[in-house]
This record gives sequence, structure tokens and C-alpha cells, in this order.
Amino acid sequence: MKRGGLAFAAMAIATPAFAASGQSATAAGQAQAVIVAPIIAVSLNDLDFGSLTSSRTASGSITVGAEGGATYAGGTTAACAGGGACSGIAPARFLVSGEAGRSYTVSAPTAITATGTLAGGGSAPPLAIDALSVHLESHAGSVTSIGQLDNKGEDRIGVGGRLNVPAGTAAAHYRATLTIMVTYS
Amino acid sequence: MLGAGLASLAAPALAAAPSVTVTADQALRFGAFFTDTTGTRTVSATGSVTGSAIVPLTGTAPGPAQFTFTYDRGNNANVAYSLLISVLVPGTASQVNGGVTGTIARFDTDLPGVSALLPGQSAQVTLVGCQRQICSRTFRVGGTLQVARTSGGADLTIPLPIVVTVLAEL
Repeated sequence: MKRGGLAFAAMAIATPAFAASGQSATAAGQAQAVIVAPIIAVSLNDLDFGSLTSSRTASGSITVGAEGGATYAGGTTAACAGGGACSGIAPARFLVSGEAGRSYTVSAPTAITATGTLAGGGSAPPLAIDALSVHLESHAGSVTSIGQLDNKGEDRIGVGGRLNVPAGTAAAHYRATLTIMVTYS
Repeated sequence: MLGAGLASLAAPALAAAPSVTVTADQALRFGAFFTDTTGTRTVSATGSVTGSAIVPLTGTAPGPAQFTFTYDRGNNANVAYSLLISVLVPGTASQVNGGVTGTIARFDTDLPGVSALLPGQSAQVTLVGCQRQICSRTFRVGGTLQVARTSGGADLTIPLPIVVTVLAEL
């Protein structure tokens, strides 16, 4: 009788060795990624200092604010009494487009140089444009280089600056290139 | 005597059948990034992150997927054993969302002895050190996401099924 009992015990211990194969299970995992749309800035209008006059004896300047408005200093005055040739005075404006809600950084130079063409032809001495300032619509009222795209994925940037006009500057048409760069932050 | 012996020996024969479960504990996270047209980002099973032709951006931190494999041998025999298992990613993991296509063509894992998991190809792994009725292992899966972008951006959620089969209890 005892021998029979031992035989049963040996069979019971051996059972797990046959238990494993073929069992299979699946887990429904996933992979996630956020591919962000590119951010771009498109020029809406130029930084325009309008038409102005310069003094033969006194240097001057015109400052266009990043949010608009112009002030004259020293020997520089507007070439008109309002309207006409002066109506074009405006800060540069850029439309920034990208992924809604994302913050971004704008980089802009602090100074650039305008090259001129004399009214009678030929090159005029270059003029310095400095004190370039940036205004982000998403940060109205504060000076910052970090903006945030709205729920449409847009923001607007204004850039103003100061055109310095030395005494005796001849009549000429001036142009400069203003490049800004926007990157996600 | 014989009657008593039969009663005590009957218990193991009634033990439950072995069972296997796999749970997805965490998704494979590639985070947020920008690519102009095409780019890749690799998140390894160990958590290292590399990229090509992409600009990483703030957002969800990248990290590997995590799965937990659990084997219930169906009885309480206190005998050390190992498991030979196969791990399979059934097919190519990809998604098209608008102008963005994401494809994960290669995976890696921290399971012992497996350096790469290719879609459709199973890898065999021996899990040693199992002792009790329940033998459980947590493992991580990384991958390389290839992105092709023609326009806009997209949130990609790509199914990543993992099939684990117990081939043998050793």
C-alpha cells in the first residue's frame, strides 16, 4: 500500500513539466509622438520711416515705435504736415504661424545699416538704424523676446527703430534689410 | 492508509492550468519635435534619446514602453524553473495623420539576449530564476520613429501590440 502511494506522489510532482508550452498573451501597447508644424514668419509690411528733412547743421533722428507712432529729434523733421508722403510711417510687421499654443523666441538685430541712392543717382553715405525694438502681440505691453501662438497658431510681431540722420545728409532714398528669426522655445 | 494517501495527493492534479498575461504599463514616448521633411528619433529601451534631422521641443519626456509579463504555472510547487518565451511585434507599426507619416521599423528591448526586435520576427528569450507559482518580468521596449512630413504637424498614436508566447518551462 505504501508503494502505491509513492507512485502517485511521483506523478503529481512531474505534472508542472508539461504545463507551459503554447500559452500566449498580447498586450495592446502604443507609441506616441507629437510632430510639430513648422514655425514661419511672413513680412506683412516694412519698417517705414517715411519722408523727412535733415538739417545742414544739426544731426537728428526719427524713431518709429514697435507699436506705431513716430517721434523726430534734432535736425530731423517730417517732410509733410501729415498725410501724403508721411502716411507710410509704420513699424515692420510680421505674421508668425505655427502650432497653436506653443511658445517661441524671436531674434532680431539691434542695429542695421541703410544704404542710399541719391536723388540724382549714385550712392549716398549709409545711415545707421539702431535701437530696434520688438513688440509681440501675444505679450502686449511688455518687452520680451518670447511669444506664444494663439489658438489659431498665430502671433504678430512689430519692429520699430531709430534712423539716425547726420547733418547735411543729401536727398536720397534709403533701404535696409531687416531679418528676424523665430524658433520654437 | 491508502485512502488518506490518495486524498493528499489529489490536490496537485486539480491545480489550475498555466496562464500567461502581458500588460502594457507605459507607452513608448517619442516626445515632441519638429522636422522639416524627414527625420528620425530613437528612444532606446534604456531611455537614451537620439535624433537625426529633427529639432526636439518641450513636451512629454521621451521614454521607452514598459510591459509586464506574468506567468502563472498553475501550482504551488516550490521548484526553480526557467521559461523559454518568444516576443513578437506582429507587424510594422505606422500611422498616417494628415501630412505626417510615422513608422517604427525597429525596436529594441532590455530583455536578456535580445538586442533588436524586428516587426514580424519573433525573438526567443530565456527567463531564468523563476521559483514560485507566479513568475513575472517587467521589460522595456524602445524604437526608432521615422517621420516623413509634407505639411503641418500631427499627434501620432501608433498601436504597438506585443505578443508573448511561452514556448517551454525548463
